[in-house]
Amino acid sequence: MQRQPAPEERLASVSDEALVERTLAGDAGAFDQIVARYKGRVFSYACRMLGDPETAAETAQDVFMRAYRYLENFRGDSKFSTWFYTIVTTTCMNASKYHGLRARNRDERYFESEEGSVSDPIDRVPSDTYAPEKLAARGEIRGAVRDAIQDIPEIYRQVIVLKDVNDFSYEEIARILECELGTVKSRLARARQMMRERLIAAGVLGPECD
Amino acid sequence: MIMNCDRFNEIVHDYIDGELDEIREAAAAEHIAACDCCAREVRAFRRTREMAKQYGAELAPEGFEESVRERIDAETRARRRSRRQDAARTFPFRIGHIPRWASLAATFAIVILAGGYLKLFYLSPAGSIQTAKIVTPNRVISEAPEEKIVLSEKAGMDAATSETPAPVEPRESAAAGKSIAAAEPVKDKIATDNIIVASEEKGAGKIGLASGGGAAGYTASSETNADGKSYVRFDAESMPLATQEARAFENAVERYELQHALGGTGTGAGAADYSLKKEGAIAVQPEVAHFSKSAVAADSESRPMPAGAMSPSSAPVIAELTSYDTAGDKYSFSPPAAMPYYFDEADAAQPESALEQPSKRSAAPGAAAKAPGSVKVASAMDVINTTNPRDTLKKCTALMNEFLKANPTAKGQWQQNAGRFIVSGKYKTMVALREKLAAEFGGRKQAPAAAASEKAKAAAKPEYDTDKDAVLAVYIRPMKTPPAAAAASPAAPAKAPAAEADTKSGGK
Repeated sequence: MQRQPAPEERLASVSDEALVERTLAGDAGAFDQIVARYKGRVFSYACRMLGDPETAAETAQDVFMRAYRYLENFRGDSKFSTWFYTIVTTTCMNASKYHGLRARNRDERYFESEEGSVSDPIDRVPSDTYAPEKLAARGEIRGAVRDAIQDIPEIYRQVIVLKDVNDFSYEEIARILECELGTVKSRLARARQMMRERLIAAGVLGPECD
Repeated sequence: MIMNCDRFNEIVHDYIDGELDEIREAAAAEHIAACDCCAREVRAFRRTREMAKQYGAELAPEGFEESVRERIDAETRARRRSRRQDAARTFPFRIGHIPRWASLAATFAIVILAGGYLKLFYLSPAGSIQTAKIVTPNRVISEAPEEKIVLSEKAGMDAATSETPAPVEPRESAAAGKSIAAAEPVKDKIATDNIIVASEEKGAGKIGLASGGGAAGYTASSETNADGKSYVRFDAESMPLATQEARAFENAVERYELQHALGGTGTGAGAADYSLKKEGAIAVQPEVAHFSKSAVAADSESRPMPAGAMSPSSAPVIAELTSYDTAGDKYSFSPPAAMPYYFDEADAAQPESALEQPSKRSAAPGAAAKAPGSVKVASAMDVINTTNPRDTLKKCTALMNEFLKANPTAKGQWQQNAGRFIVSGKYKTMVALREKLAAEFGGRKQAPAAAASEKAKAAAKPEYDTDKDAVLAVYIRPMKTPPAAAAASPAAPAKAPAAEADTKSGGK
């Protein structure tokens, strides 16, 4: 006898836009499916933008609540993910303001840094301690990468997280952030350059080009 | 197509991300095949991107979906509850009965008054709006002791007032030509707004009556809540939302909000526009812009105010600014699913739950948000029933202003939506004020039996320090039918000037 698929399985192949319609029609399971689809990406974005996982989890929940409330505002002019991410980015930006989680922002770290801290610009020269295998052995690459992302100013960080972590196209990012395509490109180039410098300084990435 | 290193550097990220067209991609590939340095650049940036992808992603915490579902369910329940309450709506004031929620509502007003820096509006005897800057203590949560004095005869109150949902219109001059008769049902034509807009700015709001609001008869005040954030409150009165003026006001509010969201300086639309240009992109902060309408707003497909439901701002939040398009000057409102400020009988046991700050409300729905170190203050509520609300309000305003003038530490505010004055100050001065009100409006104390019972209750509580803070809510309730004893209504002169009253020990 053939097994009846569970509700979530039935919804797994349904498009986001159809899930929105179903939610608006009163199908609670449809929105749960949206949450299931996006929770990881939203939480990742919130973590990278806010730094603190606890605040990120709370903010990610807020994102879904807000999306649920305003779902009827989604008119299908753009992809659901684009519309949804405008909520994600705005909510995280507000959370960042309200929670004052900029303690790890570069400038503050300059002030806080002790002697020899990696945050000191002088240390951002190509490191001769490039030894990723050692770092990996100590399980530090992950931390170094996250620190590097966290260290980038917010407007650049948004773009690199949307592109490299959340995998949006340039055009989608431009729509989400409501800015020009050129702005997205230049910010991404700048963000990657900054991140590269930080990874080199942390010894995670080797200096590649003279 | 031939590509050199400079040209390649311009498109290196497009190349890595596969965003180039075929021709340029082929040219780029050709270039890096010939140029080691650019090839290394590509490898380095690819590695950077991979690392961000690999290590930047997270798994959502366990139970995340369940938490979201719980919050959604809680909001849905709150919606249903508010609709049910509305269906069972009855006029909340009855003869000889002051429901518990009402006294709670009065005490909730303290939250509005509390928290630091307020700019209050009240009506001068001449009808113009005056402002007073005051400093209030930290957040206070009222508890006891509570006294009730009914300031007029109440015969016929039930029948008369049950058809009178609107509070009286106090500001004839401010809302010139748009005021409504007190007894006229507001349901069809009036949308009264209470709008709270958060701003970065501490202290008094700058929009005032200058940037759109004034022309339409609106007022604004700002206050700092216990969380240290400033809010600006707009009271839009007697204005059909569809009118141009209301529209202008909404624009003004939004511009103001945008301006402050951007940290712009100056006032008015110009400054907002300037900031917008300067910053490029703008994100409105939906959770701090609450547009609420009291009672039944014109577009109340949303939730009309349920019976007995009050909020610190004395009106439920029924719409939020959800988006603002800077290019098209478009904006949209949506009803929030939650009614965070509502409380009903069931919530009365934990009134703190309704005191969440707007910015925090979605973070912890239903969680008690009692501020640490909150101060308890005494509170009381008086009701003035009147067949001539306009005159009564004028008289009462004059009396209040006289009182506030004589007692610089006291603060007062007329809250149009709730149809009441809220006054706070030292307990003893509040007692003196009540005596003055009783003298002016022919009030009488509670029935001896009730008074005795109140006294016994009060005796069971520790002595209240008469120098502590207290808050008084004075409701003005219009009646269609004159009370039975209206003819005999005493026009006793106010007996004690406030200064003298101040010296009295009015406490228990």
